[in-house]
Amino acid sequence: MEYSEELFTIIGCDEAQGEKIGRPQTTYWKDAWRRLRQNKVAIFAMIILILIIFLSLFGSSICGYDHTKMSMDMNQTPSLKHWFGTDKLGRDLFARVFAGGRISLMIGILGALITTVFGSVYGSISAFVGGTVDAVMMRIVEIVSSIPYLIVVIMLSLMLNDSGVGSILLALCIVGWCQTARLVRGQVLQLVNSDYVIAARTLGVSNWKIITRHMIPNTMSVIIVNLTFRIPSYIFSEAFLSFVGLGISSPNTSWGMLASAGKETMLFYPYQMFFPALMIALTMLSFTLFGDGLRDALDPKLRR
Amino acid sequence: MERLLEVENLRVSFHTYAGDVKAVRGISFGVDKGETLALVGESGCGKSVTAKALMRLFDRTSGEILEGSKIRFDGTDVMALDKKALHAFRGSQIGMIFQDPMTSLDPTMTIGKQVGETLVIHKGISMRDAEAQAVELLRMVEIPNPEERVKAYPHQLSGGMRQRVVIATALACNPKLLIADEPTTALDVTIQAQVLDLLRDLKVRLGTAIILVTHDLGIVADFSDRIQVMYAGQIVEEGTKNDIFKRCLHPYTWALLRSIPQENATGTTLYSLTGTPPDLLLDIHGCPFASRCEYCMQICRQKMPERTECSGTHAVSCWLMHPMAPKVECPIPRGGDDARE
Amino acid sequence: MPFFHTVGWKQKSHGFESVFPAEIGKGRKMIKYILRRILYMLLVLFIVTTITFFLMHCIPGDPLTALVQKLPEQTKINYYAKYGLDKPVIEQYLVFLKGIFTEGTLGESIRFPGRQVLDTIQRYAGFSSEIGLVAVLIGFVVGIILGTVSAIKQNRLPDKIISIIAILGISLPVFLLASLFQYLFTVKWPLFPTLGWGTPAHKILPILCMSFSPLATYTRYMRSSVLDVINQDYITMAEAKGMSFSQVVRRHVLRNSILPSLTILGPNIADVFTGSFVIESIFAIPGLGSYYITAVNDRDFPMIIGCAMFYTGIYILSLLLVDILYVIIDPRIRLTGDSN
Repeated sequence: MEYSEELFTIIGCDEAQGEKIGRPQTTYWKDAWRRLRQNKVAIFAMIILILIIFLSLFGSSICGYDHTKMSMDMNQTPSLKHWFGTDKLGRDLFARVFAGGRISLMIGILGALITTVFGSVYGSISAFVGGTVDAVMMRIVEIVSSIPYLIVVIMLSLMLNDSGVGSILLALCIVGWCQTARLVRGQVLQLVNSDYVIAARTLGVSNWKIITRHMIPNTMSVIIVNLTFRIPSYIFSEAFLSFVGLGISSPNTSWGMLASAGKETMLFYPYQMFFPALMIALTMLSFTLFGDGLRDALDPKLRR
Repeated sequence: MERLLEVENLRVSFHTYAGDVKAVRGISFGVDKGETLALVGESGCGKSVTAKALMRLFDRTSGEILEGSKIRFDGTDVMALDKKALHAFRGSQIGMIFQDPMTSLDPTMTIGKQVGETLVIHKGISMRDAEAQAVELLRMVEIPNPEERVKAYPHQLSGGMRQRVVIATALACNPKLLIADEPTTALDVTIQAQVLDLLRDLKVRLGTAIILVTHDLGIVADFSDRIQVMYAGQIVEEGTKNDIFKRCLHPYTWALLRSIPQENATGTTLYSLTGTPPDLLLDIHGCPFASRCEYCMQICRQKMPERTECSGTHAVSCWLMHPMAPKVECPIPRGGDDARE
Repeated sequence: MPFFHTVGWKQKSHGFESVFPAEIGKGRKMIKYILRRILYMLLVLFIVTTITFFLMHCIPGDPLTALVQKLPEQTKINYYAKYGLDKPVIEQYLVFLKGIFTEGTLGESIRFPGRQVLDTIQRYAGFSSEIGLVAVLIGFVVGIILGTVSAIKQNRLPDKIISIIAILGISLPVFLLASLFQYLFTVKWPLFPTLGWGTPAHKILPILCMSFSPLATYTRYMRSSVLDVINQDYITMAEAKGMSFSQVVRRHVLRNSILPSLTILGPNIADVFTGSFVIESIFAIPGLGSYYITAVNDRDFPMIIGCAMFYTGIYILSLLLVDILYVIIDPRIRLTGDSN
């Protein structure tokens, strides 16, 4: 084979090409958002959630019925007039389902938020201060979490006795924070002992900067994912309690209560049970799927 | 010498979401009975993948040995083995030692059972008998108090001891070839020497051929009969210990050798190779080392150099070997370089 | 069982001390550990009992409110005196404690005079555990299997089907599932008896319903831990030994990946127990759960405390059992309080 002379002159290494990094650099959150967008299931779940929240906020104005107003159209099956039908007092089920949704979602979201914030603060303090304080704080967590949570919730909802949103929320929160506290404590401890935080310490980076630069961004993803998984579990707890008559009671309404009411007439009017049940299941499903997607997006190492 | 292993045009790809990572790009080599061959290269050059490919250990990974690759071991066509035959082949014909003894032992199973497993599978003996034999195997790899250690769990042993257990497991069925994939990388320097001594000793005693995969030219010099230098999934230079340490011709080998600290080089800066290896997702048209090579020529960017045989044992793939190329001297001062024969 | 290889006395007779300092007396340490945990359990039980007792007396209304409404004043006072409800709360509490420690009794139901709380619990807890324990066990076993299959067939059809089942399982509340099952299998297609208790056929639907959620949870846990484990070096090593994949799964993968699922087994058993009253009320099973709810609604103080103590006891006990199981399966776990 013949080659020309100039092909064999030494040109040396190609610095630019050698050092080039293949992919463009992005921030952590941008990258997470990109990964989340690629997950069709998670995005679909998110859309459903937004839709449910929207309907819960504006449901009764959309269908044009008030959820407490009774009429003579009793036990109507779903029709153009009453999209989800009516209950035994002639109240429009569509309006009732989404009025209930407001309460159910509020308990779910608020409950998850409160326990997550409290648990995170508790857990980080415990991990940061360490020593005896940590030991005592964790003993408290251990004892509180050794009490079966339904027992506490039942006792508390009895004690507060107003069967309103506030008391059930309180009851759920009192037992719910332990898990988050443990999780965050573990995460913070792991970070405090991680090589890069020790490196930052050694370089003289201030505590405040370590907290804002390393601790918060690195625990945030765990906390957010935990939050998304807590919401459906609170919605479930509320529905469960209301279903057995220990939660929300009239004149308030929630999905659990509606399902409970529908259960009584299930044999004759199955749709009265079906719609609230569907909403509970759909919401929990969507939050779980969204949480899965969020976890994969925020922590690519855990990606399955 | 009788040929034990013959590899021809071995190509391995990993299917990922970004495309196929072509980790091994058509390499051919052979190993004689009782011989020690070292595969040397930096991380990601495909040396470990090559080692795994010899046993087709890609069952549940995205890895695939591509069509046209040929692996012949002691008269067996490894590529043609069916599942059952493959399982019978692994462990009995070839044993393997992994890089990190901390993770290559099952934490929930006693040492004796793990060593014995190999015997149970291939010799069909009971676990009780296998454990009894495991004691002898542990004695062979110079673990003190083997009768008691067989009942221990991996976390109760030090790294060096665990690596000895891994070696005992790999040698349980007296395989003809032992693949050692970075066997000392995860160990302390003093323990490294002990493990290498043990391997060398076992090689002599058992007559096992060894393929040593490593990035450390230092241990290669002591240990192996022949050396193959790999870069970006290809073999760039191969030869005997002397060929590589005294007469090496490829700029990449030079770079590797220059990166070894020299005794008499006090006060000088240690050479370091700049740049990163090419992205293995891409097709490489020219020489894969071109972008980092001090002696890169136009042609290097355009065409893959051919393999040039310099002697019966020594071969190199570099355009500098071409008659038209300028003559380049090896930048390593010969005097300071003793091949530690 | 690995634990028994390292029992203290055995080591001693073979002169193991010098070789495995960490292993000396693991058996003795285990017993000490269990004892300490049991003491701790009793402490928690005591705290829960105390809290429950005082909380209960903050609840508006007491067990006699409904009963004595129409009775003359003196009878009312007599009634209150009979159950000691006229005394200060602290004194009532001391009387209650005395009852436990001296007579081993939890008192007598107020709503159903003559019924001993302990007897009632003994009688009805049996029904609850018959479905509860079986449900968790089925959920655990099937979940472990499904999770493993799902992980091994990752991203293929079986994985997708199992993942859908799992996600439905964790997002379908048990009471909805129970209602649905009841509607489908007793009304639409009457395959099973509707309500009540007695024949084995009565147990099938409740057990199915209750096992669904644990099943889903274990499937998800197992899938992710199996995926973790099969990427470990020791699995590749096992394959390099010449084991077939099914051998590898049986001998190495299952054992190592079952650990995370075990940690939630304890709370899960307790959750199923405490949550059983919904199922019991839907299927009209005379279990302790429905009894507990009745007691709560009746403000039957002794019954409420008795049940709370029972549930807490079950909860802590299952946590302990799982911890012990963990030590047995994972030899790396070193018992706390280990001086070495």
